[in-house]
Amino acid sequence: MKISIGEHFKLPLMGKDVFIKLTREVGLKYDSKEGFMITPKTRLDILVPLLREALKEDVSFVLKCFICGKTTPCETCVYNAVCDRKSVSPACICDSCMVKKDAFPLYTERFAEVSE
Amino acid sequence: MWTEKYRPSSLAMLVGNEEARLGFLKWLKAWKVGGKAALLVGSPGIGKTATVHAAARELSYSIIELNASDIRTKDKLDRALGPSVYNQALIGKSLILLDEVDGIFGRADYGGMDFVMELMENTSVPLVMIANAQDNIKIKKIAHKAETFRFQRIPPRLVELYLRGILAKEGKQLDEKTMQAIVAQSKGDVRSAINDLQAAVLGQLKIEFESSERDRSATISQSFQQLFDASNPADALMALSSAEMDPKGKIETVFSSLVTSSLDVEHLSNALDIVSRADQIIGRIRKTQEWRQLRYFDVMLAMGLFYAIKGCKVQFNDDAIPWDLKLRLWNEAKYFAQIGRTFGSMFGMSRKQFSAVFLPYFAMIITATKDGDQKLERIGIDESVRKVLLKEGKKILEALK
Repeated sequence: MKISIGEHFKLPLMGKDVFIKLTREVGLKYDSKEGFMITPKTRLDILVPLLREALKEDVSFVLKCFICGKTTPCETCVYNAVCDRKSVSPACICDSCMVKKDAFPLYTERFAEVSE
Repeated sequence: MWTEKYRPSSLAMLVGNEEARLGFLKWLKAWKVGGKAALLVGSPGIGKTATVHAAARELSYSIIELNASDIRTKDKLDRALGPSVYNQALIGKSLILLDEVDGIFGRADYGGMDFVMELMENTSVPLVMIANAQDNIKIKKIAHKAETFRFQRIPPRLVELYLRGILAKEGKQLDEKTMQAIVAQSKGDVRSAINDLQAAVLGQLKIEFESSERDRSATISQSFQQLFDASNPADALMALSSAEMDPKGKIETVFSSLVTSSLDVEHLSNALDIVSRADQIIGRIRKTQEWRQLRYFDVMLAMGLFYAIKGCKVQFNDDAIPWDLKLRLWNEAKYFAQIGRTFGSMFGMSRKQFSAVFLPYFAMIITATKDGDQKLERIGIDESVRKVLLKEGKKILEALK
């Protein structure tokens, strides 16, 4: 399962107590219509083994490009082996934005836009 | 120094932690007298202090800054800040920044914590605290009363973006491999990445990017396996030191590996004793803030473990609790707590004492007793609690057969 940080995702029913754990202790945000979402308060170190065991599949996180909003494919990233997606902040930058000459000014402009 | 030259002049000039930065700005904009204090938590070099300075600059606040780990006592803090913090008219549009606030709460606290809590309640200007440690119990207490912003490490690509921005401003160039090596080695610490970049550009640093071929988790598991398989104490120490993990993580990993391996009771007991002592030492270091003592930690754990498990096979495992048990813990822990409370007080003992010593026997007796369920019902025990207790008793009786 690939979870895009900053976006909602759905999980199968795992019981009331597990749900309480996920929202209170793990710190996942929950919306009855949209599903779960990772926030800066989420304890990813607890979430990963938990979901891995519960879903019986590997769980990985993907980051979103802060400039264009697209999902950045971690598999092809040169830093894939050294980037610990569980402990870095959720936004990244995609290949197409990175190669732009004015990538850093674009990033700062985007931040200024969002902060307004 | 480029770290000073390129100190961010506005919040937009920082990279990473976008949500936390925006949250902090929003908090500062909306702050009114009587409002909550702010707590910024996260590892060093990821922009916490820079965020406060940049946000203050943007909103025209001047900063009264104290490094809390240097001034730990109530009296010194009081003297340094003075009565001015309770009087906005005296200090104008200012905010108080208490950096490294986790340093206050060491052995030499002497009322520092009380002072901070009081300040949080009564300050007439925004109070911002910065801490590195998240799991310190006193920081948790502060976090409970403050608006908390958690800062995470910066993704490597954003570190690269930032460094490229600096190179463009300097009109310098750097080859891809060196750039990637600097970014990989920084581990999300922008400050150290800028220092390395400056050194590399000036020709004082030569580093190679090896990390693309290196799987960090594989390296950690290899290091621990080498520790368990070491044929002499020196190899054990070298293996443990090479594991890129904090001491608490090392203890947890060693513990998980020990309890999930098939060791005989004597070896397991000796090894767990070493782990327990290592854990106590970490606890004391945290409490006393004597971080220099950490240098002995690897030696103690590696040597102790080497002799404790000599000749035994220990398999690396970083997850000690199987899923079934975790689920049981979550689903049934509250019932067991209730059982402990109810019967502990009934038999005149603490919940802990009843749960740790008498609970298994009680569960067995009540399960083996005719009409045990009805008897529990008569004394007002809930159905769900009864079910858990009888299930536990049945399990123990079956295991004893």
